[in-house]
Amino acid sequence: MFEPIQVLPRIRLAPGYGLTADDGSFVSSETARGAVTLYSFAPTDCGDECAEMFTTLATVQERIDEEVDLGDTDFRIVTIALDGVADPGALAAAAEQSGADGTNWRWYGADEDTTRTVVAAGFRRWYERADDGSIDFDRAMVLVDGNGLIRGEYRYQTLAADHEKFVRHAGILADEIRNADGATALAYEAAHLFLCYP
Amino acid sequence: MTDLMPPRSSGDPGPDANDGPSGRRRFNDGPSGRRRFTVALGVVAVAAVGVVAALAVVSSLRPHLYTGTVLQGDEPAPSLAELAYGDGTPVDLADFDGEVVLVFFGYTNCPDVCPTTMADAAAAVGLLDDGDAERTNLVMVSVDPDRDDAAKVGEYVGFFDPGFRGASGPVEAIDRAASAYGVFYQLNEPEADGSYLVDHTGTLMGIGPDGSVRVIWSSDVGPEALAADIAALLS
Repeated sequence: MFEPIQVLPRIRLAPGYGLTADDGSFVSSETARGAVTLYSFAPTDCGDECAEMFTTLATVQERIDEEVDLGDTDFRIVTIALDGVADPGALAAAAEQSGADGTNWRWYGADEDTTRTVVAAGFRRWYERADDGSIDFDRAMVLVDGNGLIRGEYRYQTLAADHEKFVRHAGILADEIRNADGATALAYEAAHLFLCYP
Repeated sequence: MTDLMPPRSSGDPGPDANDGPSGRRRFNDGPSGRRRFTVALGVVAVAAVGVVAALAVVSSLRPHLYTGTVLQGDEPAPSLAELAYGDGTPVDLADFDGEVVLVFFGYTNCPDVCPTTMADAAAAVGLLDDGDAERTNLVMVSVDPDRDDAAKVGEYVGFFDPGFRGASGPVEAIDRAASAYGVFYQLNEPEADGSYLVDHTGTLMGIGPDGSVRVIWSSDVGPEALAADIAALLS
């Protein structure tokens, strides 16, 4: 039965960045090129407040591994520390507490100025340090494709269960990636042209 | 010898120049046959013209398939106003309303991707018709401000095309602009002679006539494909 092609919009350029990862390595937006990456944002000391979000991310990672055929394209989850932490030890501790596996789900961080450029100006995610030193922030996630383009922006807690939406959108992106060559690419470009968005 | 052929009647014109080898009459024999032939020829000609016209219409209606990756968002391209050209004038993208601007982040000591991308961009502009070429601009932003001031970048890109422009500014401003355009750059450790390379994203960004980032190209796009995409942006 004929099913219309759906695509995720190419919203805008994701920011370029150079950050420190939880294993101490230097990572950049070029490191992410070619992979589908779901970015999230949280302070390293986010405890119970972030528990639900971290559970969702773990579920997304598990379900995408099992249910979405991305071919040779990697799927990664990145949580960027909002509190200006670039110390790998602190990032690794936050990663462990959140349930990040250190492979496909990593924590990245940088000094406060760089973090603000990347998160606030680049990803356009609001956050600010409160008087008591804690960080108020917009619980949001951003889906970026292998070309460095933002394909989805999500406020955490949507009408649909969050992991359902992320898995569905990853599946749509996977279909486009698998059909990026040959005649089917024309159909997908046409779908973009005619705004066949979910 | 006996002649076995029947005698001709007076109404039989007999074989003539219009008869075939066997003496059969050809299609266009006589005034009515010639008319039928002319009508048929006309129908074929009209049909051929119709097919050619239809193909031309279909071809003109078919959307251009971009080689670069097309973005759907229509928000204004990230500002470059914190940067300036060699004469000190701030880069104001509004100066290019209704035109195409190619934005590239590179540096003048770049050994490979920058000169090839600039050469390809210049060749692409050369492939455009005069009107489109007039409405195509390029701004290269330096990712090596210690060695490149805006005037030097301008001189560098002007070597490829006199219309291309160079821009630079304080490191913090370049950082912000680069990040906004999805560009990462990093200075490598200097060699013994003090020279160093800069790793940087080699993507070429195309701002459309509406002022939003419309297309991104990888550095190996090639002049022909780039020219075709620019022409489509301007159409």
